[in-house]
Amino acid sequence: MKITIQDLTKTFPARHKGDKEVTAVNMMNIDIPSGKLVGLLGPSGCGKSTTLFMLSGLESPTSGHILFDEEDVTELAPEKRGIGLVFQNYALYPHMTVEQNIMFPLVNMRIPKPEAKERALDAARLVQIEELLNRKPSELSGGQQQRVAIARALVKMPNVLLLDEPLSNLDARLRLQTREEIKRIQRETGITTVFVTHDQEEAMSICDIMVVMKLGIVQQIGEPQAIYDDPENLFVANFLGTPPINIFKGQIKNGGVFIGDEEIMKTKHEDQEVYVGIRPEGFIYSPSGVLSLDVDHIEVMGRDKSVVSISKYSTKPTVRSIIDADVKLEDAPVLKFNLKKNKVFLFNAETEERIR
Amino acid sequence: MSDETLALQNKNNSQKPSSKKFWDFLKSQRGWLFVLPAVVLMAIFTFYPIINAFVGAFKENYQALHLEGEKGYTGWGFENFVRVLKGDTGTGGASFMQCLFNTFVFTFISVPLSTLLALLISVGLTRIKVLQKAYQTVFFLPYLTNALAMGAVFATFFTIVGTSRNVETYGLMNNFLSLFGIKPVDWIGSGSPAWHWGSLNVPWAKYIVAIIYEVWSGLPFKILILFSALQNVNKQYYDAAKIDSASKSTVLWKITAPLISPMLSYLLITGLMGGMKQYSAIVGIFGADMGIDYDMGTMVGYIYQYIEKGATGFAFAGSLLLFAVIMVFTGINLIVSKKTVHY
Amino acid sequence: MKDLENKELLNQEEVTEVVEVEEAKALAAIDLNKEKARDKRAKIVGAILSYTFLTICAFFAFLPFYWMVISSLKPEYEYRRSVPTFFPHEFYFKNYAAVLSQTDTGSSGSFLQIIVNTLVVGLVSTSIGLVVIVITSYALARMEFKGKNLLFTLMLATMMIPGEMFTLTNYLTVSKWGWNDTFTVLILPFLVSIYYIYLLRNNFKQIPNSLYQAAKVDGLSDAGYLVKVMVPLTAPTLISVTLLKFIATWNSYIWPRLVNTQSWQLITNWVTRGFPDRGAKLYNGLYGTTMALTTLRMAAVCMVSLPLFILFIAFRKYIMHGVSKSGTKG
Ligand SMILES: Nc1ncnc2c1ncn2[C@@H]1O[C@H](COP(=O)(O)OP(=O)(O)O)[C@@H](O)[C@H]1O
Ligand SMILES: [Mg+2]
Repeated sequence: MKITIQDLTKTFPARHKGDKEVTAVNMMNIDIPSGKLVGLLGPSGCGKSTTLFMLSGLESPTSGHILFDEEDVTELAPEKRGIGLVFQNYALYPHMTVEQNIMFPLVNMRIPKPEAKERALDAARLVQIEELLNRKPSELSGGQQQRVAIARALVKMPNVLLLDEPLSNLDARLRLQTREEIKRIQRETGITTVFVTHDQEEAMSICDIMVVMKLGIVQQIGEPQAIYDDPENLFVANFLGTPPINIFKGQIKNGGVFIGDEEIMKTKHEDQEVYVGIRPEGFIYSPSGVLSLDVDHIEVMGRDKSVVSISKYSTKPTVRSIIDADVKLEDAPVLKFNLKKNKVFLFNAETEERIR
Repeated sequence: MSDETLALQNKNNSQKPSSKKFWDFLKSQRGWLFVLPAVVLMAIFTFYPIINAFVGAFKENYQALHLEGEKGYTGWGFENFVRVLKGDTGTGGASFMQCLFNTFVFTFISVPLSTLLALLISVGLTRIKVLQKAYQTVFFLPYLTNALAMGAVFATFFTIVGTSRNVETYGLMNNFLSLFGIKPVDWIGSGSPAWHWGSLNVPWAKYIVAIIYEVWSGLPFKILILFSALQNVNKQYYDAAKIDSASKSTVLWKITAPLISPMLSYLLITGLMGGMKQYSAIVGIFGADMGIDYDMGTMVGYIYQYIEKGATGFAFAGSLLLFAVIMVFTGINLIVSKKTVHY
Repeated sequence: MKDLENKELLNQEEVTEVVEVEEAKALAAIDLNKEKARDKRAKIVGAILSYTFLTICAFFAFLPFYWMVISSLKPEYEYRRSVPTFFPHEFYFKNYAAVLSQTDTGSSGSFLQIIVNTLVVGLVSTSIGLVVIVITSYALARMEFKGKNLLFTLMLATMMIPGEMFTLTNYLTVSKWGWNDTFTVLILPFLVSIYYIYLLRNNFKQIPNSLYQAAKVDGLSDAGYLVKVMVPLTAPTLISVTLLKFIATWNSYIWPRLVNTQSWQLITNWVTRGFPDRGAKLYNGLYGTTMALTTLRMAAVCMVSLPLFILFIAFRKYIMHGVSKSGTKG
């Protein structure tokens, strides 16, 4: 099922007198093609869950529309949208067994018991929990609970699957494993899926399409790699990538980009104050390089090594450049680097928008 | 430091412990000082009475106050229990079996009824926004009342005033029922209808009055507890249920009720235990004689009747029987509360 | 060749599918509008049902109070109308005057006397009782001494025992000691409320131990800690306990009637004295007959209930807090 989000806005009234109202989602427009896994990414409080709840129908938008295929479902009750939702804390009914939990939606849809049992078993198999069917949620580990929640969402064969930070309650190892699992299940079922997370690595690794949000406003939409390679603004560039991008204060003058006195490259753009973003992997060590950095220390980790240095033009305490482990570095307090052009981004210092 | 002084110090050190130990022990026990007033009072007014009740119940023909100077009883045995249970106390008044039956009828009908009603009202309260506080306050009002006084008010709803030839008012209830063409009933007067079942009286009209009162007076506490229990249910379960297309009644009976089942069973059990101790309200509604010749008597009423008559032995025996009944409920509570906590 | 055929077949199928989908969509669109309307209607109906149900229940919950007040303000003949009036035609305050001047039996004590009795007993037993409860709970929660657990277990065990089992022995005890017709007899047996001790002890236990250690570092004695830290922290519970204890005195009926003669009894006894015999004996002065006067009884009921209402309105939060606390003890 294709999802179209048009001018979607959600404003919450002020919680206390004197507070301002909160615009959790602001004029959002997204087209989600059928069968894709879409990630909503952004820092905590940026309106991801609100968006998801509006898609599910649990929250109704202040304005704007949501279309499933061509149908406007904006006003439609949750149970009539044909969606599955996995809550952040799973919201498994504590008094029901795993099987009863999974069967619950089917029972409500008045599907005969034998068939419901069959389908519950199928869903349990899909997420590999068929041997846990008679347990209560309290007798399950976090990862198992999470699978039950997914099974419950999938069992009614939803048109759309919505997941709200489904991995945030799992430990690091389980998180890696489960995100592969979700990817597999999504591929197998081909259900259009919206996945909310604040973890950019998680989003990058499993999404077909990624939507980056900030303060309720969509910053950029695209394939994860495309966004990484071509960020629209400073926020997006900063939010994606580990280790994060290095940001320098710089200027464009006389057709060149300057960090301090050093001209790092030529440009056709007019003179202005800029932020220069350089991905850690964008540095090439060269004694005749264009940018010099005061080395603080070097971290070696097998495949590559990081030069951690200090620059008074950097907006962060340290600058990190990653180079191949076999590159020999001279033992000097200052090292010089050339830069890979496609790893350097310029942003207007005021608007923080990308200068292309 | 010379050897001498060292030796002296050693001596001092070795001397101290016995007196110091005792002093330390006393100091470590000073908690008793804090609890002393309570312990003395409880010893006199709580612990001793319990023992005394167990002793006194077995003294035959025990009349503690009436036979001063003499020992006040004629011997030991189970006679008190036998005569209480048989209704053969030779003093007239309430019969224990009648009181037990009445108490059970009031309680086992009114407690489940008021718990159910409280659940529905609490659910209703959670579903509204405007005026929620106001409704809550109104529903809590009956909690802080004087059972005797409110019993008297309820009595007026059901009392027919006037003589049988010249009725002045049939009372609010009969007036209300007449709207549906129902003939006036003498709810609590001398002509109140009753069935007879062996030696037991079943004054059903009076039972209805008592049950209505018990439901009314039991509601506030139950609503307060259930409403806060409902508000503590994680909202996500309701969201999840919506996604799972559960209807409103499914949500109520399959999700809400089980989630608050520990509270429901707590309310049921404490309600039943409290019901066993009914007294004041019945006096308020039906008068000090608890109906006509104690036909609306309760177990506690039975005990007080014999306290006032000075038949100490019967009163003790009655109170032990009441205790036994309540212990049965306590036992049930222990079993049930282990089973109903689902998670 | 075969492939081609297959493809054609596939194409055909696709075409029919598309048509079907289009039709389904058209149908769905109609359904959708209907469903939206139905949802909205269901919501409104739900709200109306909720409010109706609550209003009916609230009406019946409140009716006794309303009835008691208006009946107390009616003259007896108006009360006895065969069709009841829901608002007095005439406000008849003489009912109250008649109740207040109820002194005909001489020994029964005047209204003033009884109010003084009730206030003295209520204030003394509440304040001393509170001190006993606080120090006992504190020792049980925070201090170590031999036999503490045994004592606490004993106390918990007695909570299951119906109070009626104590009443008789206590009655015998105080009678033997010649305490009848004193205030002591109304105060002493009820100073200790095991249930409140239990409640407060749990409250005290919830206060983190680190606070106690911090206070020790700051040089506070045990008693100082109790007064300066624990009591303020548990103030809501203490206020609830105070109120509920005072209300218990106000409502106490059985014990005073048992141990004291009329002029030493309390307000509930005094006000309800006419109830058992339906008021016939005491209130006949007003109309010069020996009728049972419902309106007078309602005036008495109002007088005993009014202070409770005032307390409730003034301390609603604390009372509800205290009552709901007892609900979560399990
Ligand atoms: N029910 C609500 N009432 C008021 N404000 C809310 C409500 N729900 C969310 N918000 C606010 O909306 C913003 C977005 O919240 P949310 O969508 O939960 O963020 P997240 O991206 O972390 O999931 C936050 O500032 C939050 O405080
Ligand atoms: Mg969230």
